[in-house]
Amino acid sequence: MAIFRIIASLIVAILPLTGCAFTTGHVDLSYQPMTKVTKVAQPDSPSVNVEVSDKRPNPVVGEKINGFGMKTADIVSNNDIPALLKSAFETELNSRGFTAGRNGNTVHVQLDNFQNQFTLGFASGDATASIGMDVSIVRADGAVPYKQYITAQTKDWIEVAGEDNAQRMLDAALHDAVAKVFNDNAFIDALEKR
Amino acid sequence: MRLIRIVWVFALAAISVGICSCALLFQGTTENINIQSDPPGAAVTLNSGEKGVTPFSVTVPRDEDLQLHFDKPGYQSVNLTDNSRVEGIIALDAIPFLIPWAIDAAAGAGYEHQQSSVTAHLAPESGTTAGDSGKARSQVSSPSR
Repeated sequence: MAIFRIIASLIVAILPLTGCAFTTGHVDLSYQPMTKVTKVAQPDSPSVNVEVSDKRPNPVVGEKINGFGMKTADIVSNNDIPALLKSAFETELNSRGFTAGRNGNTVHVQLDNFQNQFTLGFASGDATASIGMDVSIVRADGAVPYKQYITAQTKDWIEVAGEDNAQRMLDAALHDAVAKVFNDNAFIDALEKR
Repeated sequence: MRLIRIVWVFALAAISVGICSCALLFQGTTENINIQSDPPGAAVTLNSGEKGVTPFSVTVPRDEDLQLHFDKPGYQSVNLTDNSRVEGIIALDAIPFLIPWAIDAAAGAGYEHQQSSVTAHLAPESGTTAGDSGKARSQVSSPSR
C-alpha cells in the first residue's frame, strides 16, 4: 500500500509542474505598419483593390503545449485574419500613395498558412510563427504581371507556451510577410503600371 | 529477502540507464522527409522558406510542423501539412521517473512527423470547377508509418 501512496504523491507533485493548460487561448492580433516608407505612386498610377481569400485548413492559429511537449489546447484569434491582412495591405498601399479603387489593378492574396508553434527546450522553449500566402497582381484585362508565393517565419525563445507569446510572434510574422511583399521591387513596379 | 531487494534496485538502475533518453541517443533530433508530386517537377515552398523541386528530400527538426506549398505551371497549387507528433517510443522514458522524457521532449528527439513521405497530386487547371478548393484537390500518399 505504501508504494501506491508514494506513486500517487509523485503524480500529484509532478502534475502542477507540467504546465497543463486545457482552456482555449485567444489572441488579439494587430498589424504594425512599416516605417520609413516613401510615396512611389505617380498621379497617373492606377488604383488598387485588395482581395484576400482564406485557404487555411482551419482557423486555429496555434496550440498550447505542456511541459512534456504535448498539445493541450488550441489558440484562436479574436480578429478576422483575412480582414486584418487586407487592412495591412491597404495601409501599406496607402502610405505609398496608391489610391483604393476597383478600376485598376487587383492584389489577390490567398492565405494558406498562419500559425504559431511552440517547441520545448532545456531551460526555455521556442515560439515559431509561420505565414504562407500566394500574392498576385491582376490587371483589369486579366493579365497577371506579378505572382509570388511568400513565406515569413519568426522565432524567439519563450518561458511560457501561452497565447501572449503566440500573439507576439504572429504579429511579428505578419509584419515580416507584408514587408517582404512591399520590399519586392517587382511588386511595386507591377502596381505602377496598367 | 535482502538479496532480492538489492537485485531489484540494481535491475531498476540498469533499466533506467539503458533507456535513458533513448530517442535522443538512437535517432537524433532531425528527420528526413521525402517530398514528391504527381506529376513531378513542382516547385515546393516550405514554411521555413526553404524551396525545392519535386522529387527531393529535406532534413527537418523532428518537433517542427511542416507546411508545404506545391506550385506547377498549368496545375492548381496544393497545400499540404505534415505535423509533428509525440513518438510512441518516448513512453519508455516514463519508467525512470520521466526525466529522460523531459530530455527527449526538450531536445525534440521524442517526436516524428506523421508522414516521412509526402506526395501531392496536382490537378490540371483546365477542367476543374471554379469552386474547387485546395483542400479537396490535395491528397497525401499513404503514410509510411
